[in-house]
Amino acid sequence: MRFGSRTIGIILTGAILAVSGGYVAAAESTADVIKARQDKFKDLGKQAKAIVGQLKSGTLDKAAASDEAKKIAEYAHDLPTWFPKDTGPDSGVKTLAKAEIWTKPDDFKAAAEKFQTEADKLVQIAATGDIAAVGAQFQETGKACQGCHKPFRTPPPDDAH
Amino acid sequence: MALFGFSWWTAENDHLDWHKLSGYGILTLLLFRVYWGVAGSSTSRFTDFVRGPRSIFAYGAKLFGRSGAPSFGHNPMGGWSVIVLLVLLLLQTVLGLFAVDVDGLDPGPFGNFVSFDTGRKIAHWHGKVFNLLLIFTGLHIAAIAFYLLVRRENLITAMIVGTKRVAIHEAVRPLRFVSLWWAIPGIIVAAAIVAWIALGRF
Repeated sequence: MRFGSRTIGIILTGAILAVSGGYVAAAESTADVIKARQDKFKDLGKQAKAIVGQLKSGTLDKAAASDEAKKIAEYAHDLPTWFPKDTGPDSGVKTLAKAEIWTKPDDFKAAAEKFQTEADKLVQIAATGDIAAVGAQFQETGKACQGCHKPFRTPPPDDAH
Repeated sequence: MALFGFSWWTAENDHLDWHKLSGYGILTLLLFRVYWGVAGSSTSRFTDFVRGPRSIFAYGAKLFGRSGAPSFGHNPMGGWSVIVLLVLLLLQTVLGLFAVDVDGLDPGPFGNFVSFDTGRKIAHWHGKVFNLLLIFTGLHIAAIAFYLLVRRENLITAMIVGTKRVAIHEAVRPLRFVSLWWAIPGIIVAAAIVAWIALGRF
């Protein structure tokens, strides 16, 4: 009898852990998706800053700029997969992603494709190492970033934007 | 003050190019004010208006009295207000030089000296120091309004033209006005430093 109740206790504890563990995993996955997305956008910012830095200094490192442009283009093509359903402002997790991403999917798709086109061009031009041309195309790529941020991102709070 | 407001507006509305120009303008004025605090007219000099705690308390005690304590140039409390504003504004513009925007597209002129993450942290402080500045500029303006409305002393005119009406019995301390020609080297040096920051290839 003593042994029996202990067994039941272990089974019950195990069951509770399994169920609560399941909830935790579900809650985490939304947060994980959003965190992973934010990390990728931060890395995009890093690549952008690296190219801006070279443009500002007046010397373009062809190899480095090419790598940075390629990363940006890779992210651009991957970007449409970063916004699965239920990872928006109603997800309960803090995010700057606006509901419009999901309510205006065609506009969002068009904005992402514009970014992809400009980023692909940037990769080609970066390979030439022509700093003036890279500067001009980088401007266009930056505009594509902003073209998506304005309608689909809540302005970052309490910060220099 | 106009540039301060303009800086806020351009930051809120994503006009970072104008925001930078506004910041350069503010920095030029600040550098000139530091120069004038050493080489300028007597009431502008730091040695003239930076006082110890004793004179601050003595002055504060008379503040609400009928005649109040006479003073020329910044009074002992106002002097510290000026110092706090100058230091905060200098801090704010220097932070701005290193700040990096959220997208990494438009970093400050010294953005190349910091990583993306560090630059983002600095941008965050740039936002915090702005809030501090709001508090201290608010306090400064409130004090000026208090003098104007309650004590009937116009400090604004005094600031601009350097003269002030005083009662005949008040002890007048000699003021020394430096020729405005002396401002020119300060303006040139301040503008040159800021031009170097703005246009330099770092």
